[in-house]
Formats: sequence, C-alpha cells, structure tokens
Amino acid sequence: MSQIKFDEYTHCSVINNAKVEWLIKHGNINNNVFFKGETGDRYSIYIFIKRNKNNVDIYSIWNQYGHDTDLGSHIATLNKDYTLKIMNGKKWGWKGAAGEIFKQLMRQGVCPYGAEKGKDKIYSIRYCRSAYFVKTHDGNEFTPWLGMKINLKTGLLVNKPTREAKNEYNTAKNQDKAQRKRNYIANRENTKALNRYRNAGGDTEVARGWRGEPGKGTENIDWDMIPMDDVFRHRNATLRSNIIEHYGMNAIVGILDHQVVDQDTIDGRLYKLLDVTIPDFSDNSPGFDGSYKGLYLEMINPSTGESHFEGIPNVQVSKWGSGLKEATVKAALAWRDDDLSIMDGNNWRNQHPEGNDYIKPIILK
Amino acid sequence: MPKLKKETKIEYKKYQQGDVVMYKLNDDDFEKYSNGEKSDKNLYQTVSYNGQQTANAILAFGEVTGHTHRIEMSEMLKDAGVTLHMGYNQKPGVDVPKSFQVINKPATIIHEEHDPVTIPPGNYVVKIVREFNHITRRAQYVAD
Repeated sequence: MSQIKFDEYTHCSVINNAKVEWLIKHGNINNNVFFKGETGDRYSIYIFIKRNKNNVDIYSIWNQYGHDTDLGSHIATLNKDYTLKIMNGKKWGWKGAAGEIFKQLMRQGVCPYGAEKGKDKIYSIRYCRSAYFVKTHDGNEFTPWLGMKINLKTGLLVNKPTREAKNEYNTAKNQDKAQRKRNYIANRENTKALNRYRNAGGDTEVARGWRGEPGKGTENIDWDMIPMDDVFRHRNATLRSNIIEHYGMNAIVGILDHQVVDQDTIDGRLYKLLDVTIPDFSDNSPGFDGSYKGLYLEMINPSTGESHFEGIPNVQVSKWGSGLKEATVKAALAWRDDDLSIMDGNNWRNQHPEGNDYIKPIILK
Repeated sequence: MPKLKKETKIEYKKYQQGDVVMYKLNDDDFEKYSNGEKSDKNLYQTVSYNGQQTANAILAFGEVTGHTHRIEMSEMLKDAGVTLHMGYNQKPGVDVPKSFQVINKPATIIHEEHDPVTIPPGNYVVKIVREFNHITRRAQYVAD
C-alpha cells in the first residue's frame, strides 16, 4: 500500500473530501489516504483504501495514547457511483454503531459536496433520545442501520430500512414525543401554580426573608386559592416549602395514597422516604387512571426547622439511568447529594446509589 | 475496546449548607476540578478575593429569593483569600462555581435561611443538590 501525495488534490465536485474523491476517480489499487478523527473522535483514524477499480474500503483504527493500536475494522465501502454502504465493523458492533459511523464519516467529508454550504442534495443527522435520525432532502427520516446504502451524488437512500431500523426509529420518536409532552405539561403546571400563588397574594420575589422573619411574602396570601397538591406542581423549593408550612406535611400527604418505605434519624433529625401516588398530569390516554407512584423524601431544614419535600427517583431495575439501588433514606440522600460522581471522579456514569454510599456531612446547616 | 484505566475512589470530606454541598479534596484530586494554566481565561474564569475586600465570593444564588450562599470577604482577616474556579462560560456572582479554594484562614459561608458554616482552608468542589421531578421523569437541581 502507498499513501498518495494528497496535498496536491484540493478540488472536489461530488463529495466534500477532495482526497477521497481523487482516490475514487484516479487512484490505483492499494492507494490509500487516512485521516485523524475530528474533535471528540481523536483516537480514531480513518483509512480509505482502493480495493479495486470500483470500490474504496473504509477502515477505522482505534489509536489511543497509553493503549495499543487495534486492528482495523471495516466500517464502510464507497463505490465509483458514490454509493456509501455502512458495513458491520467488528469493533463497532453496538446498537447505534451505524449512526455513529455515518456521522463520523460525514465529519470526514464523506457526504455530498456543498453540504456545509446548504446546497441541495444534502442530508442532516442528529441524535435524539436513543437513536440517530438522518433526514434526506426529500423529507425521508430514518435511523441508519448496518447495511444501509446511500448515494452521495443524489443524497438519497438506495435501499430501504430494515424492520429493526424502523423499530429503533419509531421507539426513539415515541420516546421523544412523550418526553416533550411531559416537559410541556410540567412547565404549564408550574406556570399555573405560580400564577395561582401570585393571584392569591403571595410574593414570589421576597418569598422568605432573613431568618427571624419567617413567612415574609406570605402574609397576604388567600390560602383558599392555593390547592394543597400545588406542592407537586411548583418547581421552586421555597414556594413548595411555604405551602407545606401552611397546610402541614401530614395534611398534604394525607390527601394522597402513600406509604412510608423507610425512615432514619441522622444527627437527631428524622428523614422519611415515602412512596406516594401522585396525580400524573403527563398522560391523558384512555384507560389511564391519572396517577403515578414516585418516591419523595421528607426532611427538616436543620437551621429553620421548616419541612422540605423533594422527589427522588424510584428504584432502578435496568442498568441504565440513575435511579436508586434500594429504597432507603441514605440511598436517597446519596443520590440527592450526588456523592458517587465525586467518589468515582466522574459525572457521566449511570449510577445507582445504595445506603452505604452516603457520606454524612461534617457540618450540615 | 482498549482497557480502561483502573479507577481509584476519591476520598473527601463533605460540608453542606442547605442545597449547596462542598466536597473537600486533596491537591491531586482537586486538579481536575480547577482551571489550570492552559484554560482559556475568557471562557474559564478564575476569580480571586482577598480579605478586607468589600466583594462577596458568591457560591450560589436563589432564583426567587435572591438570597445567596456567600463568603463575605470584609469579615475575613487580611491574609485570607478565596479563589473561585468557574466552569465553561460561567460568570462569578451569577453561576455556581465548579470549585473554589480557601486560602490561609477558615472561611464562613452565610445565607439568609441557614446557620453559618465555617470551613477550613483547602480545596472544595461545589455541587447543588438534586431532586427528581416525577412529572418530567427527569432530575433537576433544587431551585429556591
């Protein structure tokens, strides 16, 4: 194999990478060009080798400082008609690999010429919830799959998505719709609760004063205008706390079906973990009873003695996500303080804290 | 895939005032949380406060109440200091710093609704406690 002197080749008209285009048009068998991965993909090297007069094979190599360089994986093939086929690279065998390969090749310029200039015959790619979405200029949207063929001259798919790819796309699309709906409803309910609070005479600007002046900003509230379950609608902890102070925690929890799953006394303060059936505003599908079970931690502010009531994720069964490993007060506190991310020195890992993970503060005020 | 480097558990001490948690780390562990020499100073601000300055080193800001978790430098001795390390594109006094250092003398953090917390000199990482919003099914930082 020989690396061509590609610095001489700067003109392209079909794809965005002049060297690869030259390789397809004029390269000899076994000629190759290679490129380092873009930002965020720096440990990858992409090698384009002319296998025969009609095909260029694309390999990726993982090459990280302090680790061995691995054997290359055949990730794609580009033929002389500029049809790109995503292959089953052995190192890229995970779910979503086809989308990742496709994206990184786009970043290497293996995409229709002028894509960055907003010309026709382009496509776009984005990651949404759990899958990549590619949208071509004819409006077709799909999730890339291993075996996908796309023509870089026309910017359109050559073959049809597999059933698996369709399912992956539909699942991610439905997840996205559901999450957007939940976010919309949460914002709407928070805004409504905030308006009710203000219309009832509550001052949200000076919700509470300096210690010693409890209840500042709540003196003129007409509490008949504020329902108890606004505690579940407000995002702001201070406003929630004011509502709890007025009605009392027992009265609020008393209107809902709940059970105390754990309680613990830490430094003389009582913490309770409750499994509460709350109104679910996010699902109005037929047959749904409008409720949802969620964990809540009831605790006392050690400085003022006020009650706080904060949501805690439910016990997580699956490997992904960041729920609790066990429904205990200490596991809830470890999750609340995010103790594991400091302990492990990272912030991104999916973590499921348990009671032993909680580190008690030396001072808590 | 290449072998991942074996991870070691980081030892720390924890201090907490309301929704602000401060983790005291040793110098080596703290390095990754501070803005080193190579950081772009415009995007990663490092702000130093000295004793007897009138400015406050603000650690967190309440969005509704306007109350702050802060160190009032005028209350500290002259040779005392606090350095805030802000995260990417964050501004001191507005955003929560990624970490901070207390130099020479202990610092007292005050807040309108909490008793003061006095912490010894050292390196601290700051975090705001989280809560889970069961409507959105997503975690969010506690806002007060």
